[in-house]
Amino acid sequence: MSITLKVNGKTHSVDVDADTPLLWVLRDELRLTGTKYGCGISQCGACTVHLDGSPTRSCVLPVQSVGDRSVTTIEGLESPAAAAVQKAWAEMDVPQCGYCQSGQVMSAVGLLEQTPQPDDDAIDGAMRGNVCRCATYQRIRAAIHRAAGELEA
Amino acid sequence: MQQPYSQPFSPSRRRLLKGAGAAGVGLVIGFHWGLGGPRAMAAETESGGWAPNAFVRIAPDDTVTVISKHIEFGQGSYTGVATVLAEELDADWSRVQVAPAPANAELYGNALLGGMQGTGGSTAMASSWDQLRQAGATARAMLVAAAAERWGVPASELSVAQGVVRHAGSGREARFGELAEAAGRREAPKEVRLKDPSSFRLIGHRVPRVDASEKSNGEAQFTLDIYLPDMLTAVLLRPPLFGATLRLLDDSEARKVRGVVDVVRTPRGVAVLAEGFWAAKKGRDALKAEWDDSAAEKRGTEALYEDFAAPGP
Repeated sequence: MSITLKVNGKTHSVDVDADTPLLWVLRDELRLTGTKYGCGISQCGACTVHLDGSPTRSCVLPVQSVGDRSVTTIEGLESPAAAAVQKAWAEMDVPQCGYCQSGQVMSAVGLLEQTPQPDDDAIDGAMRGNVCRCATYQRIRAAIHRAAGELEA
Repeated sequence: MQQPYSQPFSPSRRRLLKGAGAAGVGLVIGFHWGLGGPRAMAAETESGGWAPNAFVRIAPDDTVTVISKHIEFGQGSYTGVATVLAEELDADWSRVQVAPAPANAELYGNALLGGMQGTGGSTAMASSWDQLRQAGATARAMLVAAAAERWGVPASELSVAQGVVRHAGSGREARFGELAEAAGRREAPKEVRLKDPSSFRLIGHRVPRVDASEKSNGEAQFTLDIYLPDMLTAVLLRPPLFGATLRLLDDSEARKVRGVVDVVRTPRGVAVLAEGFWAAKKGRDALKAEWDDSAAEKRGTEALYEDFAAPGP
């Protein structure tokens, strides 16, 4: 069926089964490959995108349920919080293999847009659903603090 | 930065490696490691182009691209190999990027893995050290020679730092990108002098990873991100027990799934081939299979430990 959805500010029409997860519309149809497939069952966070600004697991979200909500992927980030997070990520060498980092960045940006100055507990709570097999957690937490500091300055 | 997968392998881009005088020509340095030892080779390429026998490419915009024969999967090899070459080149680290080498064991083989082209066993740096220092030093020498000729001064009076060649006596200076085309027309020197380690500015010092930004903005390309023309996606059905074999397969429902193109048997299971992941997965989930587990492993964890602990024959 034909489904219309708004991704990164642009409206797209795609011809897919209604139960197709948003992740596979983004990747296979729109070729927005920054959003990763990790577990496919909402357990790892690699597929995290924003739905009207809220971090959401795209691997289990049927595309037909997106409706009018705006989808933002890692390719479409442009807020001050996003810029601060990505800058801190690069400056602090957060990624190793990098596979989970799109999802990490999306969750971190979502956190800072809701909670500009999070403490460790808030960071741990917001990032709990994003798994990193390289175990970059300490640097992720430090980079979020740095990004928060930059936003405050 | 990684280049898009399709570009280095594209014959149409290889054909761009044409002669001098073309607009946007840069410098490429590579080496053949034959019986007579390393033999420097210089070639010219269009900016952003590709030369199959190269370890470094210098574009007119000053970008230095190091060609890595080792893959980057989080261990930092891109940053490591780039550091070695950029050190001897005296490059500006902020203008250094890395591109993956194509499959070519003659040029990019790993001597510490018997010459096969591969990354592993903590050999990436050891197998790159001499080769990439030579490559960087040779490129540097050619850039210096080009500047010396342009300015009519002895090469010995020139210095290089941060991607800029300088002549202190006259105050003249030129960026790598401005010299690349002229350097590419020169003969490569037969011998170059490598730096004394005491003058290292990058090796042994902390430098930012070359892949940190692209891994923070979704641009880094992983295997899953490669889309080729007419490519299908395969999702596998595997037996529930290791070593079980397929006895009966009913793929009629799977073949009805929109987007499923074929169902094929594999040595240990069944693959559903489809246009895209979701169709392949739905097809896989619609397979009805019966397995023959007569030859399969049926021991559990405890039994396996007991068998391992038992005295050998």
